[in-house]
Amino acid sequence: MVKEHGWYPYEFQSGTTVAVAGDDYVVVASDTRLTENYAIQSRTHSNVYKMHNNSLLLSTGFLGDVLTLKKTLEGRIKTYEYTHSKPISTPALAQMISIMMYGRRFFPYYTNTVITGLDTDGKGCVYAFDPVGSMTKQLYACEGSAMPLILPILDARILGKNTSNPGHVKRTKEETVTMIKDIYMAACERNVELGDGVVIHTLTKDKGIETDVHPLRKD
Amino acid sequence: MLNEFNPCRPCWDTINDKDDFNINHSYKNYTISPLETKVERNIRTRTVTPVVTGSSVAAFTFNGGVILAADVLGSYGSLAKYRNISRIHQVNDRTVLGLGGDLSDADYIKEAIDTKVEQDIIEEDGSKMTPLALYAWSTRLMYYRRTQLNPLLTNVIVAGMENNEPFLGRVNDKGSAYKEFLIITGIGTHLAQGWIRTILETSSQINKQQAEQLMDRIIKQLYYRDCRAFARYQVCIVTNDNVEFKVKEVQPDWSLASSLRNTE
Repeated sequence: MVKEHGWYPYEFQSGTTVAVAGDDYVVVASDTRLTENYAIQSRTHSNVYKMHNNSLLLSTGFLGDVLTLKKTLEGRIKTYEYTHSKPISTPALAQMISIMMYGRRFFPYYTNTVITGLDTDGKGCVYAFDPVGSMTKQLYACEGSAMPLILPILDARILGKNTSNPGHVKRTKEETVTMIKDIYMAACERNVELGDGVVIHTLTKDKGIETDVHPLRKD
Repeated sequence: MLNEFNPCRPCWDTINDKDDFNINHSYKNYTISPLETKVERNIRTRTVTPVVTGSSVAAFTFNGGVILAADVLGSYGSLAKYRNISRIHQVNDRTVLGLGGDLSDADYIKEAIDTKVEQDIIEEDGSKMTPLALYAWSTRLMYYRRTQLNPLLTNVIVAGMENNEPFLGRVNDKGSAYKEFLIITGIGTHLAQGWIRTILETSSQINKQQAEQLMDRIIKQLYYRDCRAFARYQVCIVTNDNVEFKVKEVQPDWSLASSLRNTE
């Protein structure tokens, strides 16, 4: 459809997001750097968006689509709440996102989204999507520009994959937060689009969302 | 078909230009249905290269307000054709808009926003558009046009006082928007953004006078190195009290030229 056109409707902003689900918590993290073709536009732009039903949406890719997706979702979450007299649960929201994104199958939302929250039993859940809405429920997710650096570390540290010590390692939320901080600090040494800061949110039933901002190198 | 020909019908593009400003639109524009969607038609027909352009716009927040500056030139390619175009548009007493890029699209945006402001005035309930509301609305407008593959090729900078706090945000032609204490569009990102951010990050809250001096220095730097820059520029300062516009002229110091290579 797009022939020799001088203007391309997509662009790619940087941003790396990580989400880890625990037994009764979810930890999500995002770097705070926004770049546009090797220029840093903002050092304080987080890719985590809090949704009204207390789930956290992580979205990177094309910022225009991220903002539109977030806005459309917010409207639909409110509609659900008004129609059903209860906030939408995270698994239901994930299904809604999947269908919404597939609705734009032929002009996709160019975003790598992850929706996280506590499901109806209070367990942490992480759902990851591809740009056309293919949904998978995962234990942890990593999307964005530094994903190839971070995802293998998460595989090894959380599930023990490809290590001499395989097996799921259960961590408390404090240990997960420390692990994510270390991972971001390591990854930002090797990726130009990662840096400036990492904002880490922990979602639990009792305390809601707790936020922690950790600075990273600025180069 | 000759029996369908009506000489009183409008000759302009009544298919794509059906917006609030076109009062002669007719619901029956085709005798047969077109075999392409509007978006596909847009790819074929709409221009995606800007024609009359404005250069960079620089803006940053300071202690108590926001300052924006843009030169008054509309370039027709490399011809400095329109030498008195205001690219900073006041929306109301606490919001201004800076526009860079294609200036005809900038005019469209200004007209659209003025229409909205008029509607607010007509309601007579004292409600006024805030910068954040304008920023959100502009994002939607730019994103919509991008999705129709008929983009508004302008960078929109929204600045003002939101709840008595300085607000500054930028929306680009694709609908990507972000808020930041320093926004420079156009070639200024390469010429000025880096060193200005260093200055603003390391100094604590600067006051209005320092902000003006810093802005003059930025525009001078852009004038030195941007081929499409112009010596006359407009500065706008928004504070809780008022919106102030000034027109200034760059006072360049060319004495350093002799010590630079490749300059005669």
